[in-house]
Amino acid sequence: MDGFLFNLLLFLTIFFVLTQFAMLIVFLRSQQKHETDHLGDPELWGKAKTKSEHVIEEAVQKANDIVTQAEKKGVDILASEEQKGASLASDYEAHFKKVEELLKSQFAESAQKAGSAYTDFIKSIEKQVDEHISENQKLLASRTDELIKGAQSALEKTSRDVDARIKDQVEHALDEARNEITEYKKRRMKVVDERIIDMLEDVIKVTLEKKLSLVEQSELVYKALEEAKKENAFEK
Amino acid sequence: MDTNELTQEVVKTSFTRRDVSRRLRFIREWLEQEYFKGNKPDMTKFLLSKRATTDDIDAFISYGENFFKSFNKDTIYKLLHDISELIKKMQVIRLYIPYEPVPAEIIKLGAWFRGNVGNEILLDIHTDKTLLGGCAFAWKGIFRDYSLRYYMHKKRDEITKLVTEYVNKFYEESI
Repeated sequence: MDGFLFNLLLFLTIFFVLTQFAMLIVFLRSQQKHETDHLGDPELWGKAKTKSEHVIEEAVQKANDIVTQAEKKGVDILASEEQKGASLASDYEAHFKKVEELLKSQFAESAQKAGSAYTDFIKSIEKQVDEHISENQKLLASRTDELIKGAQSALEKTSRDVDARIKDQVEHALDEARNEITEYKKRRMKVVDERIIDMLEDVIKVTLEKKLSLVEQSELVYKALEEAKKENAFEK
Repeated sequence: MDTNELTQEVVKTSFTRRDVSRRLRFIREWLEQEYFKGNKPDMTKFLLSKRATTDDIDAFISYGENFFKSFNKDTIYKLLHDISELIKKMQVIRLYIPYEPVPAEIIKLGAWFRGNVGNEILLDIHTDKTLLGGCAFAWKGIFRDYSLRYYMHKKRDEITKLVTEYVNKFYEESI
């Protein structure tokens, strides 16, 4: 509002100045025209000049009055507008406060309503959840019982099958083991038979070293040489 | 004494190749000592200083003075060489026995071979404990085994059977 009044005042001032300027130009032009038109008549020209000056003076006076009035009006308007503005501001502030209070009360009311609604909602949800949980528990218990019974019977059946299979396999493995043992025994006996002489050699070697004297060993050598001679081993 | 007689004299108391070569060495050193070093020490002391055995000393004594007089400064090496060549021609029996024989045993073995096989025999004695008992020998390129080990291998089946019967009997009695 202040800005509008200021602009209005400014416009009026500028308008006054322009009006003054235009009138001046008109006057000067009319003077020039008069001077060229009435160069031959100085008395007329004097009267005209006086009249024109009088007219101009009246015009200026009127313009000044207009401007003064305009300014006065502008100031009055400005003052009234200021007053109006102040009263508007106070009205607005009061109104705003009212609105604020109203909004606050409405907000509090709404919040209370929302709180109570939310509480009711939560309660209902809790109730539903509890109901669901209990239903699920019952369902779970019944399903679990069924599964356990089914698993038990399957396990018993599997256990019987496995027992039977294990028994067969163990018997089979035992038979194989017995056969292997028999074969191993035969092989080892064969090896022992082959090695028996080597083993006897080792035993006899140790025994003879300990038990036979050099004389007895020497006798064995001569007996062997005699045996060789009998067999004609030394024939030339 | 000629080469043959000298050789016979050496071989008479030496039955193995090892003994023969050792005694020939002693003979050479003794003669070198006498003819080239100018002194003639006591034979026994000389031989002892060379670590000769009692049998070596006895053999040296048995050679006699005539044996050593057959050598002179000029003939030492030739005669010894000829004796070596004759000895190389002698037949050698490689004998394997299961014990290390003492010198007396070597003489006894040597005497048996000289008496039962021939006078021109030298022995090459080796110890082989795996023979267990008896002996084995190589003669004219043929190896003959008369050891206990050989007979055990020869009678292996019978021995195995005996042992098996004994073991079975033992287990039966123990059960």
